[in-house]
Amino acid sequence: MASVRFDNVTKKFGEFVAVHDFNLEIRDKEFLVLLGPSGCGKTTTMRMVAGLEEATTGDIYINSERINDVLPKYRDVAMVFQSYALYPHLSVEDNIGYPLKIRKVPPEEYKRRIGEVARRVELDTMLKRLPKELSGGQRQRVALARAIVRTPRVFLMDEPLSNLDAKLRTQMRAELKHLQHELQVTTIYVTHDQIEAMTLAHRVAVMNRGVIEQLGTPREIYNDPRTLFVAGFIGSPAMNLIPGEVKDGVFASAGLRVGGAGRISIARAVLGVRPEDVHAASAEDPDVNLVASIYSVELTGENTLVSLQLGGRLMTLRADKNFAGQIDQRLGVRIETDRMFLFDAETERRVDF
Amino acid sequence: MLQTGKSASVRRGGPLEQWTERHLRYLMLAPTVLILLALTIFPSVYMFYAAVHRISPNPDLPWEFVGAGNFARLISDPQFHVALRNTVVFTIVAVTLEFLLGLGLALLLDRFIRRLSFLKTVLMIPMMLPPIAVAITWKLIYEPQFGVLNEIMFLLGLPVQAWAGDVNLAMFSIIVADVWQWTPFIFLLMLAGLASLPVEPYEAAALDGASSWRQFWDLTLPFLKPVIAIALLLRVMDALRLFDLVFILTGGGPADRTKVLSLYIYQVAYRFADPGYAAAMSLFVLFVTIVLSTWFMKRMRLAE
Repeated sequence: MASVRFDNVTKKFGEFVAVHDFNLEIRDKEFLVLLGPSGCGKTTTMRMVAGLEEATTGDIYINSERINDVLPKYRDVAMVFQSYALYPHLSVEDNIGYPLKIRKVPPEEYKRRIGEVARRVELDTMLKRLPKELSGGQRQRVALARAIVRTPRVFLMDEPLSNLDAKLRTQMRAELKHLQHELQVTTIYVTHDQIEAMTLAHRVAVMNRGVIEQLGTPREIYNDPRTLFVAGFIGSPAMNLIPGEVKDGVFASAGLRVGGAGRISIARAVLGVRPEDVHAASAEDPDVNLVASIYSVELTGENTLVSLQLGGRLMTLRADKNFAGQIDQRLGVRIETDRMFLFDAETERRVDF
Repeated sequence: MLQTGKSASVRRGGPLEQWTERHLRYLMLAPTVLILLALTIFPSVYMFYAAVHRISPNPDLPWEFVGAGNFARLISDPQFHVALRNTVVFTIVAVTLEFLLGLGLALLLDRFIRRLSFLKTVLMIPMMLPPIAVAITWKLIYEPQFGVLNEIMFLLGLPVQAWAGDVNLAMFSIIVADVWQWTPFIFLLMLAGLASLPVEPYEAAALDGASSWRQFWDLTLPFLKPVIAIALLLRVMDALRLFDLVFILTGGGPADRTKVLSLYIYQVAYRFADPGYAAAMSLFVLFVTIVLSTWFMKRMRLAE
């Protein structure tokens, strides 16, 4: 049972501000993902909860207890490191059992709990091995087991899946989600992988340059991005962001005209539209927003990604898997105006219409 | 350049050039091999040969083959037993002190004053001095009449001592000098070991609830184990051969209290003019050193 709260937390490394005036409350039993590119301050934020970094100013609370001056070992949080941080000279069993050994857990309970946890992460057959004798995925599970062997107040996970291959990552993602649901422990999870964030989180905090750009459920972050950064960061392939001008509710850029934005005007605007909200049409269709030539056609299996030349940049649309267009062919494009976003290029914020 | 064409093989370069090209590596190795033969291999073989003979100081008399006789003498020679005991005491006490001090200093420097690299240099000076210079320096320090140590004792109102001449103090004084000279060696190795430790296991241990003390026992010591093994091995091998300090400071006295194996071997060979027996003792020291180091190496590999 624990909630974590940041009150105006700033962290500086010398002159560099890693985290700037950070405010966030992570609710009890919540799975919160800190998402952002490298250097955005997400790991630093999490390490401050662990006590591995000190906040320069501001307060951090677990429940109602201010923990700024509490030593890491008294915080009762468990962390899974990106590099796993296993004890290389200890067997799997001793690695998992280390937190228990420190707490002087009696031998029978020690055995029982290690057995339980090892079975859960499917390591029960390799308890005697050393970390160097394990594969990456197995090491990752040892790190996980060490974190869950005692029930901490908060789990901290620093890109725990980033060193795994794609297949294993997908599998472990599901495991993690299930595990957190079962254990009901408040979790802070750091990643730069937006798929992980979308699939795991109850709420996502998208961070950029030390501040939260947007906080919300994965659906809100995806469907309702409030800033240009969030719009561009979330989604794969990325949202099309096309600079242009809005006059009386009509967005115009080289060859592209999209109406339906009420009566607003923005001198320097950016149109944002996801590839799935752009539809291919015949070049002769009078209703199209754009006619452009095809730059590339990529079949992903479930559908086809088509890139079009638009001014000096590319615009991507997600077409049916049976899409038959060829490179250099002219293609008409229709944009779903109720699914598009307009941003002010000056403030980088969304403009509602 | 040797070229092997597909159809016809072509020779380039004269016979001399060809010969040099092929044998150059042997030519370049030759001086080293000769030096090794003259200075290491020949004396070793000669020592084995000498160890099984009774050698008279009179060069006109032939060497008398005694088989294992010289080795049998080791068992019954009380002087040898004294020297052996002194060597073992010296090695255990000196190396233990050097290890504890070296490791302690390294931990201190690594944690708190990492930036004071000049201090590292200062601490390394004793190791860089020639052993004889160290021995003479300590002889001056221990000198009963005008030595600086007694000067300090006098100023502090403490009784002055015959540091190198007192039966109870002589071994202690030699150990102090050796610790002074060789602690930096351990210190340097430990410092290098500490600098290469990974950070994350410590962070993990801190979150797992381990105090700094626990982290030292559970992480630092195991991580340093290979370095510690090497450092101790080198120091023990060297301590078993201790000669210069004893030779200069005490000459083995007083009352044989500081007579160590190397010194006794030297005395037997040159003062008692019994090189055969001295060779047998040297072989014994060599044997002990080899057994010890092999055991050490094995343990080390087991740990890994």
